[in-house]
Amino acid sequence: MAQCHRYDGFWACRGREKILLLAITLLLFLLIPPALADNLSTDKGRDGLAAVPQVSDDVKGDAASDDTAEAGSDEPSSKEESATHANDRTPTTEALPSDGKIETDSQEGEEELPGLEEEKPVHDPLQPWNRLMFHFNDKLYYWVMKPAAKGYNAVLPEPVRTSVGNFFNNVTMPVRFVSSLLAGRVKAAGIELARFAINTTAGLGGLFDIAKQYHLERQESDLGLTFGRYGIGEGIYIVWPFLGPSSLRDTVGTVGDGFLDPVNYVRPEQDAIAIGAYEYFNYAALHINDYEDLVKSAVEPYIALRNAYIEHRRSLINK
Amino acid sequence: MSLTSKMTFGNLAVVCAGFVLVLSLVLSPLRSNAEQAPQESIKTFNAALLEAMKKADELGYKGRYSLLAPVIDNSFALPLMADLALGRYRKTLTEEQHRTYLKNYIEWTVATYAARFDGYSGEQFKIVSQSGPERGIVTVVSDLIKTDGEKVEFHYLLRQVAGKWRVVDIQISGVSQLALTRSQFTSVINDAGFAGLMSMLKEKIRGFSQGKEK
Repeated sequence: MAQCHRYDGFWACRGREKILLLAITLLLFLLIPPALADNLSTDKGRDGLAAVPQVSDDVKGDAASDDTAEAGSDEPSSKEESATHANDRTPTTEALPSDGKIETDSQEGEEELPGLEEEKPVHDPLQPWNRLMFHFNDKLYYWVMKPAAKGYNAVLPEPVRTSVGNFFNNVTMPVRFVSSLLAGRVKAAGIELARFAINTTAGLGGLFDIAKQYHLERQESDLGLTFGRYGIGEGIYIVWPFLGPSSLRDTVGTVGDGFLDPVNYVRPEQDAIAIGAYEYFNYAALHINDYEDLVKSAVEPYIALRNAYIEHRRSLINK
Repeated sequence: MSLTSKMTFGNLAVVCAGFVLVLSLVLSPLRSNAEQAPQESIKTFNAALLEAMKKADELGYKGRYSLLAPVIDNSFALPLMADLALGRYRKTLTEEQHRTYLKNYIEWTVATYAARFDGYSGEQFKIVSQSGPERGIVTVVSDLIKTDGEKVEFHYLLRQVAGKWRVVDIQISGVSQLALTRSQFTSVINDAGFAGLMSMLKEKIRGFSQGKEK
């Protein structure tokens, strides 16, 4: 319902299990025969952006049949006509200029639109692997995460889940504090420190985000962003199983973040893994619709998620 | 130059000065309204979204579609957005293909909103700021405030199109939705051609109307 995206949020988790998963994935990546990956890709693109449209099976059927059709022969079938919105001639379509030409007061081109002019390409040489992992994560979301999160949400009221999230946010303060300092963002580091002090005391151990009431907002900072602020490019785009979209730079940053996360120092190690997994699950349960909002409205979900992730990270670096 | 001519020019100058004065007085409130127009456009759009959310069950998908279609049509520069979303492929379309594409793009846009804003749990919209124009673009920031106080910032980029301030792009979490659409459309056209893109848009619209997509 709400049109909210947290492009790097849903799959973002910290902790020992993340490092473990990265290692497993690396192993998987080495073990998967390249031929299998090749079969999964029919990428015909010249610039690395082109890709097989990842849509539902029934869409693939239509798209495949349309592949053979001429570009101009796009008359909707009778089935499509009846199934699409009842009012084809909506007020919107009626309002279109009859000649299809656009009337603008200023004659500026698309280059003048902020956001479009600065668009940089995404390096995606691992696209076959990434698409495979995208599908894996997608199935994981619909088959495991979503049902589990629904049950969890039914049992635990939202304020409680929010408090759990606040608690973990407070605990992982060192990640944001250190990475802010390393990026030379002293004010952001100070805000994080102040937030920690206020929320730990007045917020009952971080369960309540009291600092927010004093306009001390959580700072978006991690080592991946710090590297980016140093001018290091994101490198290639990578989709990790369980964890979702990332880049080479952000993957390295994530491993570094793991060392700054106090949860990873809990002993015995099984407890650290369990706590980290719960943190991840609680976050996912709080933002259960964000991923779906993006993917379901997209005509090419893989490209949509990839570009949303990369652009979001770029925007944070430039902030 | 004769005295009569001088007097004529003198009178003309006075008349002109008076005319300019009256015109500026008459137009000044209009100009002030025009400056506020971008914000008003978003306010109207937000109000329609809120109504669609609050009456979601009563209206159903078709009702929400009918409610939002004219508002989106009035607030968004849909034909311009549609063209920008095609990138370099825009020039390759025939007139007929372009017309078909515009129809499907607009329907897909409205259908997406109608399907996604399908319930209400106390959310609010609040206009936070308006800046610009900068290179013809005015930015209006509007917050969606959830019940738990979490805010999602929507940056609406508006431009004068056909004498009205209309949305040409929305940026959420620093991501241009238009750029996101363009990357998808160009990718699909690259791979499956124009017909493939049309097929996908129609499938999405059908999915929304049947409740498969949300």
